[in-house]
Amino acid sequence: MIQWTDEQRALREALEDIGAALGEGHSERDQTAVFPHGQWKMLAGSDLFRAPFDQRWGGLGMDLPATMYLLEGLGYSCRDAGLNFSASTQLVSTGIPLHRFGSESLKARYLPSIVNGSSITAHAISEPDGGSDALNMRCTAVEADDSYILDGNKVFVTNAPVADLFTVYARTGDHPGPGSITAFLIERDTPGLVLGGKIEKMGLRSSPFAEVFLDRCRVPKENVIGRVGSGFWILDHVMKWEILCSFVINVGEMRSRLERTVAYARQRVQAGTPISKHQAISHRIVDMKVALETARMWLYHTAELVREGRDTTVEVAISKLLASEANLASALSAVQVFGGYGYTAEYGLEQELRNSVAGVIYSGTTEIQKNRIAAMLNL
Amino acid sequence: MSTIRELQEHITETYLPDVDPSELDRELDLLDSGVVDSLGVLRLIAWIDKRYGLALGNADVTLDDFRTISAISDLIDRERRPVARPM
Repeated sequence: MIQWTDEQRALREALEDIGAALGEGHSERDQTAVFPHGQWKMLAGSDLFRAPFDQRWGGLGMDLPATMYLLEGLGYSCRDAGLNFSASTQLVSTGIPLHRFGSESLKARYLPSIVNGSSITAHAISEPDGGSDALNMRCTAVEADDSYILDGNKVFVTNAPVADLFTVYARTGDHPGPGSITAFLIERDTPGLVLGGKIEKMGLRSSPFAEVFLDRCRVPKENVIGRVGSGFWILDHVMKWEILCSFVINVGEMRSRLERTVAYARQRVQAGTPISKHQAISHRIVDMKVALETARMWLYHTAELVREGRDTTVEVAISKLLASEANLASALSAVQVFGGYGYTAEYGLEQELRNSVAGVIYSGTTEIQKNRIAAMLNL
Repeated sequence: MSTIRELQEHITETYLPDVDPSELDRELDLLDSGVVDSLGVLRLIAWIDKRYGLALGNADVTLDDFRTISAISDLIDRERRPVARPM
């Protein structure tokens, strides 16, 4: 079990202290699908976005498990799951690959504004025909003098409508396969980068996403992240961070939901008895607890392996699978325990159920995670 | 058994079951030829971690280190070498 330092505990407490204010108005934002710029500034004023980056860029130099510890606190204290998801995307989409693989000049130019939250970031990976088959992308990047010319479409780009910086993955090689993808950092105002219109979605509605069109978009060569052809390597690193960071937020959300469900079951009386005394209810709540703790243990265990540089392909897939399905089951159970009240918008649980569906789809669906585990078993 | 030979055996057994290990060219581009796809690279990393106890996640590794059997062998040799420590 990881022992957190006093400093890490203090950082988390400080974040949890502003969690209620961050989540204030989340129901209205869920209805209107508006990104909370005010809350974003508040979050940027905390230490969250600084956590995993070197001090020379304004960061705190925290490792992956410690960064997750903060994010778990965010999930626990802030009821705006869309904001939480956008915050996770801010950390992992551009900052993490730039920090690990970017040139010194690229870091100097972009990392400080990412770390202080004044630049909002997004990453463009999926394509209309690609879905989970991300590496078979059609978006191309063709060398032209001191630049690359990018052409193609990207979909489901979280934060895109509000983003200042995009990490875009495109094909630079003629051969299909892992050695033909390259990562580019592109500023929002770059000619040829065009955003699609607003897309309505089921959950996480305060976290906007959009389609991104690249029409002869000229990107300077110095904006290549890492080496040309190393996009797969970068994406693998990013996906580990994305899965562990975004789903540990779900663990925090599950803990908050469990506490609310326990409190409700103890005070809700039916036929003269609190419903918590009915085994059908108590066992359902116990299942929520077991799923929460299992997901939590897998996520931190995997994060420690990532920190040590071990192979984690199976562990990341298991963690993602367990945590996303646990969150979905937990949200459904909470609605069931709350009964008619759970079905109303007032209690926010139907919103949490809609939010949780996203988790079994993004970052590789449940089915893709099973395929990955099967492949690692040589099946 | 040499690392090259171990790699030839592992790669033929895993990705090219109809090929004799000795016939697998150590300079064949495994990525561009389609022998090893993206999941295949991850499986190679897992095998190297398990077989040689090498944690590549924090190493200075690029995809080119997995391009040929020779390159993978060089990677393994490089990562197995003890790090010189100041006295």
